[in-house]
Amino acid sequence: MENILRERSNAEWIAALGAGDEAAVGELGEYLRRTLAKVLRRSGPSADDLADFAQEALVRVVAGLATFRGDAALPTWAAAVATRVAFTELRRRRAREAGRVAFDAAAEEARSPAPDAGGLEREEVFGALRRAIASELTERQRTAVLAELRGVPSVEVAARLGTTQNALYKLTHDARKRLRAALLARGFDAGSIHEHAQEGADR
Amino acid sequence: MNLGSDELRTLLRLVDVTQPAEIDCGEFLDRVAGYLERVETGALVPAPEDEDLLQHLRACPECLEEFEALYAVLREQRG
Repeated sequence: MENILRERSNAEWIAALGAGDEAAVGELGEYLRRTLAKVLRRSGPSADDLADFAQEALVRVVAGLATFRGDAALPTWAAAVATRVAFTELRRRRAREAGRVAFDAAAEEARSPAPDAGGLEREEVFGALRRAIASELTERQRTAVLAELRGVPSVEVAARLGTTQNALYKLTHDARKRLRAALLARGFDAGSIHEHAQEGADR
Repeated sequence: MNLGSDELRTLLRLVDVTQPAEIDCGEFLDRVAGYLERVETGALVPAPEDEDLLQHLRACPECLEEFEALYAVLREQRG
């Protein structure tokens, strides 16, 4: 891609964007639009979407200049922000189409968590995992874990649970820790958990 | 619950990589640009400060999807 960005240090970028320098804002916005066109090429975004995502990212970058760590070129950080903006919006749209039904099903299952009894447990560890989901997780954790396993995007799960995506990550991280602790308490060591997890990994 | 074998295996993989402390998606986004540039410049051995970013990528499929998409494009742009 033709380099459309004039050479600037991070300090110059921050000063220019902070001051609303039209040239700097325009260059970065165009850079983000072109970068997103490539990042999203597989999903075939419309020109309007690309312009909207780049604009939204630009607003967030300017608003978040104080949080920029400065350990990369500012356009690289801006491109990461733009990628997050675009993927989140595309996931939100997919969730509107399909995720609502999947979330509702996950929430319903989370309310009645009795593990399948007498089912064909092909592996003992799966049975232990099912029991741990039912006994060790809160209903909220079960809902989040089940919804994500069913492919409901985190942006939709967070919205339905009335929380933020960062808080949702903490919720599911805590759930994973509880499940791991439960498996260890039931006699599976870290090595056997890893071994079972890797089975079929190349499928 | 009607969790199938594929779903249980996916969950087991996530449980397998779970660490006591993990960064969330917001902190990952704050820090990923530096990591992208270090990887791009050929730093084959991750810096110690990158370990929790790598851990997050193992545990978060959405951040992994975004990372892989952007990494491929940045390599193209600079390659």
